[in-house]
Amino acid sequence: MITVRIVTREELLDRRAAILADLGLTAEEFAAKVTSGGLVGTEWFASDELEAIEYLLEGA
Amino acid sequence: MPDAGLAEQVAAFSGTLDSLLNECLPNVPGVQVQVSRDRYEILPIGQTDKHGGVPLSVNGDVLAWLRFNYLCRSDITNEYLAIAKSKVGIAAAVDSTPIFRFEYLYRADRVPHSHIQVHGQRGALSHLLSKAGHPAPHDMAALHLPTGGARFRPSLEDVIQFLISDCGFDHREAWRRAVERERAAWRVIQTRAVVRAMADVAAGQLVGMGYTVIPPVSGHPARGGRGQHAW
Repeated sequence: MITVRIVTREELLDRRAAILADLGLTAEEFAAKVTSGGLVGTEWFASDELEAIEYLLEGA
Repeated sequence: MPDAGLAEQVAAFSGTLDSLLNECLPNVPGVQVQVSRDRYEILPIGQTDKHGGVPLSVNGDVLAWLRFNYLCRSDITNEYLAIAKSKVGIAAAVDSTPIFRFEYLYRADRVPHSHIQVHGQRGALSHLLSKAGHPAPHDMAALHLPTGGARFRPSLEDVIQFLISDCGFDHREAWRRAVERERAAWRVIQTRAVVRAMADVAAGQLVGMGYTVIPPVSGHPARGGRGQHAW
């Protein structure tokens, strides 16, 4: 089964804000954590999703 | 609006992923495509920043998740689907933490374009990384093990076979046929790309095998720098 969703810029921004709020970090703080190799547990999943959101935002 | 040609290629690629997964593993949730103009993300339905992916079970008990996402766009010729990034990982269900990550980055400055990260611990490795001044000596996942660059990187088929043959996860009866079919298709695509990047090498090899090869009037194109040198 394949589903296709067209996502808007607003949806992507909301999703990014929700993930960061859940992490309790700003985008800059989380980026610093990624760079320093300090990710633990589901932060890796959050990092993947934030990267995907940034990528999709470049097309929005 | 998304480019129709690209959208069709993304649909075909997603369909191939969905079929491959369903032919190999039980309880596959399906594949979702997220579209933002000319950018695409392909991932399992239900995969979030907290959990999910394709369940990996042993005797029916879900012990891990196969998580992936492919970030896609057109290549520089605007003709073919290109992967900007792909991430394929195995995460333990018990603590929702990655175990292995197979990653490909079209743009990579500090790490290999294609690499594996292992989330494990080894005292001797931490010791030597510490001596070497590594910034994260305690974290094996901070190492990016190179896996052949863009053209010779492992495919999803390789990871699926690893999960079934080496790890022993539950699988469908006909998994091997599906893996071998799609791996053969993947390698045809990659071989074409290698030939484009090193046409003179391909021509020389074919001539050595008895073929007659006539180069274009402009001569052999220069070898691609990325194909030759990128790690």
